[in-house]
Amino acid sequence: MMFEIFRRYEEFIPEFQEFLRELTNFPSLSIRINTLKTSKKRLKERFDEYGILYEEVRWYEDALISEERVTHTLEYYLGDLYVQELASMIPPLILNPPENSLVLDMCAAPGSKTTQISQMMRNKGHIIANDVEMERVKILRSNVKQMGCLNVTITRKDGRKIRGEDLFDFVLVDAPCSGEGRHWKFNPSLWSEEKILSLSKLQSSLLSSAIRLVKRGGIIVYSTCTYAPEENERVISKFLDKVEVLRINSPVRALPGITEWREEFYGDEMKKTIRLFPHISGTGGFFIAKLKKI
Amino acid sequence: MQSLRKFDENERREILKFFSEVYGIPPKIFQDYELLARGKNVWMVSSSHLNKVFEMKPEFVGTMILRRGIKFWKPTTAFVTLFGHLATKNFIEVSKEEALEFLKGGSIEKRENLTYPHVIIRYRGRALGCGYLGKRKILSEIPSKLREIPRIL
Repeated sequence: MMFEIFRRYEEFIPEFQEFLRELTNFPSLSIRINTLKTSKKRLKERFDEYGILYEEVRWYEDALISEERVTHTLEYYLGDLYVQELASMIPPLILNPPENSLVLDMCAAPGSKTTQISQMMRNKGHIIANDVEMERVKILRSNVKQMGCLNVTITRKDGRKIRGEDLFDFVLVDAPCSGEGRHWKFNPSLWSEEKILSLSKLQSSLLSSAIRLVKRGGIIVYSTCTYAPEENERVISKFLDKVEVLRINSPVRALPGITEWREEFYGDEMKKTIRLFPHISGTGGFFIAKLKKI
Repeated sequence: MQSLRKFDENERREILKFFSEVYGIPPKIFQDYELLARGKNVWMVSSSHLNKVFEMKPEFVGTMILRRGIKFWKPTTAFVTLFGHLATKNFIEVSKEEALEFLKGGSIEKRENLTYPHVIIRYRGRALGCGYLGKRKILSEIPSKLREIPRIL
């Protein structure tokens, strides 16, 4: 059934059969080295001692591909590493806030991107990590504490209703989505076009709020882990009078966003956004747009 | 929820003095951070943009680093795993067997030259948490929900 659902995207996914074949594979386990607590050299020395195998990730110094046993190590227990899917490490790298920035991570739980941004800012500046559900906030809090983040403040609000305007230097909107890009966790029985349209409305409201909250000239990174254009290009195309779409230098091989689909025109600006596919990028599926408030 | 308040200069100095005098942890680690009180507990957070942060009515600000008991103050596990390697006093290095015992909530042998009831426990230079200096043994103070025992160390 998953294959049938994904056939709706056949016209914009090149080498479609290869894409479908890739969906039968699980991704390798990837970890982010928590540089707030350890160093890559030190962690690699421990893995060598334990006989744990790992590979470098050529586009990110702080990431390694490793094996399941890392979650049984003392270093995992101490918060020296975070198990994080490779594609999920890319939006913070594109946001790339300087150390003393004020950042909003609007849909932050469980905290993988928040804690990555925290280490990128070397525990300086400030990140507001927000999520709406208490249970998710508890997990976020636990991860922030475990990873030793001292530049993170947690709020529990509906992202659409956060008050204020022109407050933040950077905003990350890693929006709730239909999750098609995480094919190893994707449940086709929960998928429907109605759900996608409902998510699209939510995502548009979240992005609208992010545009209000970021300073003029400030940067928003909008990302989802799904292929549906309704949740990606359609959302961005609604705000082209308020933001400039910036070209992304993708650290992995990626395709540009699509300019039209099913007789809906999203605009040539979408070519500056990126789409990741497992058979092309070596990651889960992702969509990422980088926007500057006009 | 109890409200947060900033410490005044004297209170802040007292907390920095505690870490310095008891553990030898240098005050400079706190220089870019604000210390906040919530009840008797002390929280540490980046001082950047703090006024704007307070306007957001946060649930949690930074990380709790110190519990101020009536008789003795105790650094939290979160603080110790981040800064405990800098301690020059009131810490002990433990063996692999002792580390495992400590992490599962057990006790370890006492050492000489310990002057404070909450002792930082280190294994191969990495701080694991605090132990309580009992009459005969040092008792693990690792919170019960963190007592997962790593199989590889």
